[in-house]
This record gives sequence, C-alpha cells and structure tokens, in this order.
Amino acid sequence: MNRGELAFPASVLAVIVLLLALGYFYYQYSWTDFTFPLGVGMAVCVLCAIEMSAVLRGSREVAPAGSDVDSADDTREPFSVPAAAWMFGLVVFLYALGFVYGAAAYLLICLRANGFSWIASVTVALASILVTWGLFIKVMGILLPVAPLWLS
Amino acid sequence: MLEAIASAAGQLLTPVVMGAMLLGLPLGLIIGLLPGLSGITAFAFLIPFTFGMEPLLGLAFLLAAYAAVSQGGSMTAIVLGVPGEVPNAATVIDGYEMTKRGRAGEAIGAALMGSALGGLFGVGLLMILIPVLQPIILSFASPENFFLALAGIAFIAVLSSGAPGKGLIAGALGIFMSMFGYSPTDGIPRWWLGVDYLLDGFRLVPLALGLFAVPEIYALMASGKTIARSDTVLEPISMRQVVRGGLAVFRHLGLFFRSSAIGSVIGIMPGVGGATAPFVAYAAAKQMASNPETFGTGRIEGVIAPESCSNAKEGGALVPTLALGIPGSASMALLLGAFIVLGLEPGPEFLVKHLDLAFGLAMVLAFGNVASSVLMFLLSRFLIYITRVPGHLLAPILAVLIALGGYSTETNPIDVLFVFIFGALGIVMVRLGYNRPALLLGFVLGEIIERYFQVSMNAYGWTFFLRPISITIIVIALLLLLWPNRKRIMLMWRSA
Amino acid sequence: MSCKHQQLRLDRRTIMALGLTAGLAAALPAPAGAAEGDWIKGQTVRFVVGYSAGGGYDSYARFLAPHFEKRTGATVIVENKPGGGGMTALNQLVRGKPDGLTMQVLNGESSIMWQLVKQTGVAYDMTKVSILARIQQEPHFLLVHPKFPDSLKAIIDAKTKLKFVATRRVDNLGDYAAVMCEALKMNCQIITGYKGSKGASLAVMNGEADALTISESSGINYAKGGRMKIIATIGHERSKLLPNMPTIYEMFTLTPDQKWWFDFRLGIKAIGRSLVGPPGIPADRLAYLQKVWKDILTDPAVIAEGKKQRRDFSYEAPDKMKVIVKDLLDNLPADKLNKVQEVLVKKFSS
Repeated sequence: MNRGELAFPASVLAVIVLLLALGYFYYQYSWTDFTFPLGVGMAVCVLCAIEMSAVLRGSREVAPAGSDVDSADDTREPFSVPAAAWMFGLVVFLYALGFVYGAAAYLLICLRANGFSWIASVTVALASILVTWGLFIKVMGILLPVAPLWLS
Repeated sequence: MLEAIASAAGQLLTPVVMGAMLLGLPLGLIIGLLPGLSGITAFAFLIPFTFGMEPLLGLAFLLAAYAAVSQGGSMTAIVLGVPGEVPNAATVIDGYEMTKRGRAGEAIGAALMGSALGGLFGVGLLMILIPVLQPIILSFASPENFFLALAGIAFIAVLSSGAPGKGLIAGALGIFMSMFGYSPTDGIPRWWLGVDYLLDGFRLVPLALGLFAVPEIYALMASGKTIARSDTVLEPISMRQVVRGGLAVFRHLGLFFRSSAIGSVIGIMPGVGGATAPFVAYAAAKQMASNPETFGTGRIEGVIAPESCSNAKEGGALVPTLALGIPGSASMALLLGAFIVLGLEPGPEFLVKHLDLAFGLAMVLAFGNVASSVLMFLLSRFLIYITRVPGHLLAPILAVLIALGGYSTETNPIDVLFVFIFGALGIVMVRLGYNRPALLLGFVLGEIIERYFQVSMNAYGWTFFLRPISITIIVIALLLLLWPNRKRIMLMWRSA
Repeated sequence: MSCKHQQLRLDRRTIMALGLTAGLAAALPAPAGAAEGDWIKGQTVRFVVGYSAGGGYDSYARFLAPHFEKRTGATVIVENKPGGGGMTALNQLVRGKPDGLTMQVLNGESSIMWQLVKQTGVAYDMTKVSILARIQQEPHFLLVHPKFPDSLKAIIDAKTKLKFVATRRVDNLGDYAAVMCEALKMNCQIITGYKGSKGASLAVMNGEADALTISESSGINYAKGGRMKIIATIGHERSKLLPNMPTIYEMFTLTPDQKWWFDFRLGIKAIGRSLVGPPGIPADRLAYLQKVWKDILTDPAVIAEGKKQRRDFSYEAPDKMKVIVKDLLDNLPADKLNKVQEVLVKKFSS
C-alpha cells in the first residue's frame, strides 16, 4: 500500500505543477485569471508534499475505524483488474455500438461472463433496449446516440 | 393574507388540480430514481405538457413532480450508493453504509420523514416570509455570497476530521478543479487545451456520479456480493425498519431544525450553489454530534441532516424566484420559463397581484413533499429487495444507468467519458482514504469564492467585508467551527 | 439514417459518371413534376440550440418546430448542445454536412461579437455561414438604480461614476455598456463576473452596482416593482412596449464619431436571434429553406400564436443580413477594428 499512498499525492503534485507552469509560461494568463489558481495550486502542492513526507516517515495517518473515510474493508481487498475492466469496458461498448445496442451488448456479454444463464442475460439486454429506446428516446425525448459514436 | 391562503386552498382542493398533482408525483419519482436525472430534466421533459393549461394546474403538476424527483434521488443514494441528483451525494456517505449493514429500511424511513418535514419547514418559512421577501433577498449581495462560500470551505476541514491531511488535499484539489474553463470575470478559458468541451471546464454531474457511484459499482462488481452484507444478521424485510427510521427524526429534532434552517437560508440566496447545502448540513451535524468520528459508518444523523436540508432548500429557492423573478437555483430557472409560458410573470408585481397563487404554489410543494414520501414509503419494500440482488447482476445494470444519466444532463457523450474518468479518481480516493465529499464541496465552492471575491473587490474595494450580514456570517461560522472545542477555549480564555 | 443518405448519393454519382463517360444523357433527370421540397420531405431535420432546455432560444426552437414540420413534411428534432455560452454548438454546426438538414437557432449578436473580438475558441466564420432568416430582434434599454436622476443627460453632465454590471465583457450586457460609455464619454466602470443576467440585475437592485444595459423584454420585467428604472432606449427606433422612452439618438445630438459607435453596435443587433446553417448548402436547397422560413416567420397566424406565449417575431431577409455581416466583419478598417476591440474588451475595466 505504501507505493499507492505515495503515488497519488505525487501525481497530483506533478500534474498541478505542470498546469501552473503551462499557465504561466505558455498561456501567460493575466493576474486576474491566474491569482486564484496559483494560490490554490500551490496550497495543494504543499499539502501533497506534507502528506508524502508523512508517508515516507512511516507516520501515515491511520483513520480511526469508522471515520468518514469510507469503510476500511474496501481498502484491504486487493484491486480487482477484471472488475475494473468490466466497469470501464462499458465506455468501449457505448462508443463502438452506440448507446442502445452498446448497452444491450454490454449487459449480455457481462452477465454471461459472470455465470448467468442465457435466458437471464438476454432478458436483461432486451429490457435495457426497452429502457434506452423506449423510455429515454421515445418517451422522454432524450436523444441517446443510437449510431456508433466513431461514425460522427 | 389569510384570505389569500384560504383562496389558494380552495383552488387547490379541486379534483382536477389534485389529479394533476397525483399524476406528476409518479413521473417525478421515476425520473428521480434514474441516476443523473434531476429536477431540471423533469422540468424540461414535463413543461411542454403544460402548454395551454391553466396556470395553477400546470404549476401544480410541475411542482408535484419536482418534489418527487428529489425523493427518488434519495432512494438510489441510500439503496444503491448512487446519487440520484448531485445534492444526494451527501446522503450516500452514511445512507449507503446503513444499507450495507442491513439497515436500509431505517435509512429510507429517516430520509423520507426528514425530507417530508424538511420540505414543510422550507415551505412554512416561505409562507411566513412572503410579506418581507424582497428586502431579505436584496440584503444579500456579493460579499455575503463570498463569505458564505468561504464558510462552506471551512466545513471541508470538518468533513475530513478523521484524516485531515488527506481531506484538505481532497478539498483543495476540488477547488483547483473548479478553476478549469472560463474564468469568472475575464471570460478567458483556463487550460481548455484546444478542446471545446473544456471551455466550460469540468462539469458537476459527471463529477458527482463518477466520484460516488462508480466506486460503489466497482466494489459490487469486484465482490459479486449483495449490497447488504450477508455477514451481518439481516432482519427480514419489513416495514418496521422503515417506520423506526421515520420516528428517529423526532429523536433528533434539534438536528432536524438546524439542517432545515441551513437549507432554507442557502436556498434563499440565489448566488450560493444549492449543491453545497446538504454537505454543509452534514458537516454541521457531524460537528455538533457526540462521537463525530463515527460519521461515515452508518449514523442516522448523517441521513437526516442532508435530507431535511435539501427539501427545505427547495422551499427557500422558490423565494427569490417568486419575489423577484430571479431563480434561486437552476431548476427554478426552468420553472420561471414555465411561469412565463403559462402567462404569469414572477417578479415584484407577482406577489401583489397573485398572492393567493404564491401561497398555492407553496402548498403544492408541501403536498408534493409529503405525498411523494408516502408513495416512496409504499414502494420501499421493493427497494430493500434490491439490496439483496447479487452484485454481478446489479453492477452492470447500474453502470449502464449512470452512463445514461451522465449523458442526459447535457446530451453530451463526453460527459459519459468523464463519469468514468472521475470514477477512476473516485476508486483511487476510496482505496487510499481521501475524502470524496470534500472534493465535491471544494469543486462547487471554489468557483463561487473566486467569482464573488473578484466582484466584491471590484464593486466595493477592500472594505467589502465591513457589512453587517457578512460579519454575522463570519461569526456564526466561527462559532460552529469552534463548538466542539468550546470547553477548551473557555478555559484558555479564563486563564488568560 | 445519414448512412442511407450517403449511399444514395454514391449511387447517383456512379450513375452520373457512367452516363458521362458513355456519352449518354449526363445528369439523372429529375422525375417529372418534382416539387422543390422533395429532398426534405420525410427526412429528419435537426434544430440545434446552443443552450440548455427551457431557455429562450430553446423555447423559440420548440415553438417553431411544428410549423416547420407542417410546411415541409420533415420531422424536426430539437437538439440542445450547451457549452461555451452557445459557441460550441456553432463550432460544431459549421463542421457538419451542408445538406440543409441541420440548422441552428443562433444568438447572432454574440456570435458576431465574439468573432470580432477574437474570443478564445471561436472556430467559425460568420461571413461564410448560411443565413436562413432572422427570427427576432428587440431594442436595448438602459436601466439604473432609482437613486439616480431620470435624465441620462443629467447623469453625464454631473460626471457621476456609473458602475455597470455584466457577466463578461462581451455578453450583450457589457458590450452595450462599453459602446455607450465610449460614445457618450461617460465616467464608467464595468463590473464583470455576475452569474447570468439575473444575477447582474440583482446587483443593481440591491445597490451594489448602478446600471445595466439589457434587452427590452428582460428590461421591462426588471423595471417592474420600481427597484430599477429605464431611462433610455438604445435603438434606432423607440420600443413598441415603451413608446414614451426616447432613444439615444433623440436625447443627444451625436457627432459623427459618436453616431458611428451606436450604429455599429445596433448594426450587430440587427442580426438578433437568427437561423443559420453550415456553409456550402446547395443553392436550391438554401433558397427553399429561406422561402419556408420567410413564410413561417411572416405568417400572421404564427405571430399571433407567438404573442400568446410572449414570443415576439421580427423577420428580416437573409440577403440583407448577409450584407450587414460582411460590412461588420470584412469591411471594418484595421484601426477601427483595434479601437473596437480595445473598447469592448479592455476599457472601463475595474
């Protein structure tokens, strides 16, 4: 966990320094536009540096059990790459096949891969078409893109 | 005034108007249950149906639906960890925790009762204030907006009291993220990198959905388990839980009144983001509670506070809308459009010419709040069942729903992409213990702070803080912040 | 749907090519008795609006959609594409297919202004856009806090500093203020940063600022209740809603230079709320669309129905507008352009 603890504040610091440098040297924002971002950005960087030094010193803040930091259970389980892939994979389906068929295909394939029967998977996929086409597009008039997004 | 109230009641209690309200309720609930769709969507969708209707009829329909939307949104926040609208993100913190521990019914009951009563509070306050609405609104100017937002930032520290360093990073990062896109006074887009989408910077709805919904969906996908953890003894699903939750509100009356008051005040002020109100109420609740560090593990106060606050806020937001024709929130802006289409013109004259209509609208909002709570109560059993559905089935469905919701706000597919980008950020934050509400709060408040600071400086000069209401806000905020340490401070003061 | 359309075109082209090379009758003959609107009948037409649902432009689009459907036989979908204050939608429109099936209900004034001051992100050229019609335009009013005298002349003579409100410098609030302040040599400060014109007007109502220049419909609303008062009309003619309010031209004897400033800004105003399409729409389709819009926007029945919903129409022909746009964007001499940019964007800042 130590690497992760360090990587996040480090990346935040790096990105913000990059953005501030871009703003000052390349875009050359006026003082009106740059004062606040500069102030806040520097504050974030300082806070990140403090956090990083705390991690390195080994005196990490351990949030007491049951704090507003979300429950410790989630942090103890190893990161599940398949789960993340399935979740973010939805974007690929929507991009490739549009919102109506992409969503249906995603549900079909995802449920099948997780052990649900053909009947269950197809039913859910068809129900999704009812919701996307029927409810969103026809009834509510929200124009979900039916055509694949890479076509436009 | 009394005869205006009586006249309004008379016009409302007709079969046609009641019918319109009862029709609007389930429509609003359905829209609310779909994550990402909010009151604004409801209005946009329903307003065309009201063309040609009598004003009170059309408005009764719209306001009833509007009241129901937030109820629906609270339900998904509690049961699924997916905020229905941005303000519901505060309810997720403790509400979803309660669900995971098998106490979904209690959370639902508390939320329903809290919102119903909170809505009544907001409306009641509205009705009392109607005679003096204009002077109140006009005494809040840019400096007051600035100090309120600044006070809100201070609450970030409260929210993250468990792990202050990480909480402050989250909050400050949120503020920094709000600075992308057009600068408030200059209109120069910052860091838009040549991409049209980034001209307006990051958007609030994808951020809220990504930060709060995606990590929960990921967790479901990863564990495959039901939302309600089977390692805790689960009560058989019954309405008793819900009723118990509802009655809990009466055990925390002080909290309820505080939260509703916060919501009403923030709602009245047109400049301060309504999305912040539930978080501020949550933070205030945590601040004044015993064992504040247990907030986030399923404290019922963490549900009552944001829920009563959001509904009270709506009554408050109606105030400037009716009194000055100035919308108190984005949804109110749409409602104003509806007013005009229906042949009415909110503004200074409205309250004089149509006082009875104003009271009528207040009553519709009140009725809508209560009725949608009742409706939701009847459906709550069904909702609790959802928490027993296996994760591998629920997760993909929820993922699709938030993609749809993310798209629907501005019909922009890039919003959906950002839901998942912020989702990745959310997952990282959860795993490393960074406070997500703090980031959201910072994001909403950052823009307000910068905007109103610059406007106040330009309009008044350096002395802009020397105003009675501004100073009052600062004092109250300081009091609230220092409250837990009051004994220590008194001791220090006495010994000095 | 668009795929099918492309396929048809390809086939026609192939046939045409074959016909040419074989030396036969060149173009595919139009079927006998083809009406000029055949290309649009049964097609899906998109009305793009650069703002969210529920706003003024959106409601105009939704109001006009059924009328367009009735006259052309097409199906109309209203697409909301908010972003960049309406700029993003126009950027997208001009990159789209010029087949006549997509048009935007445009904030013409802002679009021209942004191009003039070279606003970041502008990726369109208003001189190349296909103008279909003007839907509406209305004069502007000058509103001030009640503590000021009723006479604008008196305020100017007293050299009182007036704090104007705006959301940004070029937003139909701030730019009118800038033009007026420059032309009449007023002692002005323009405070930007308010959220929407409503936020800006609230600032005048509560005394934080002093003055506001805003369109007629909004202005009349805000003046009700006495928390702001209208003291001048900024337009060539008086407003029909407030016929007793004199115009700037009537109140002052303007020097040619002063007149130039007002004529300039009001020339841009003449574009108003308009309907545009991407550049390069084929001439016959463009002519058809322009005819249809002229019919709709000058139809007394439509105008009467609009009146009931507080929607006002003031049609202007596209060729007239094209001339104005060209004059403003292409024919402005370089030194004048610099002065315009300086006044609109920098001068009178706090």
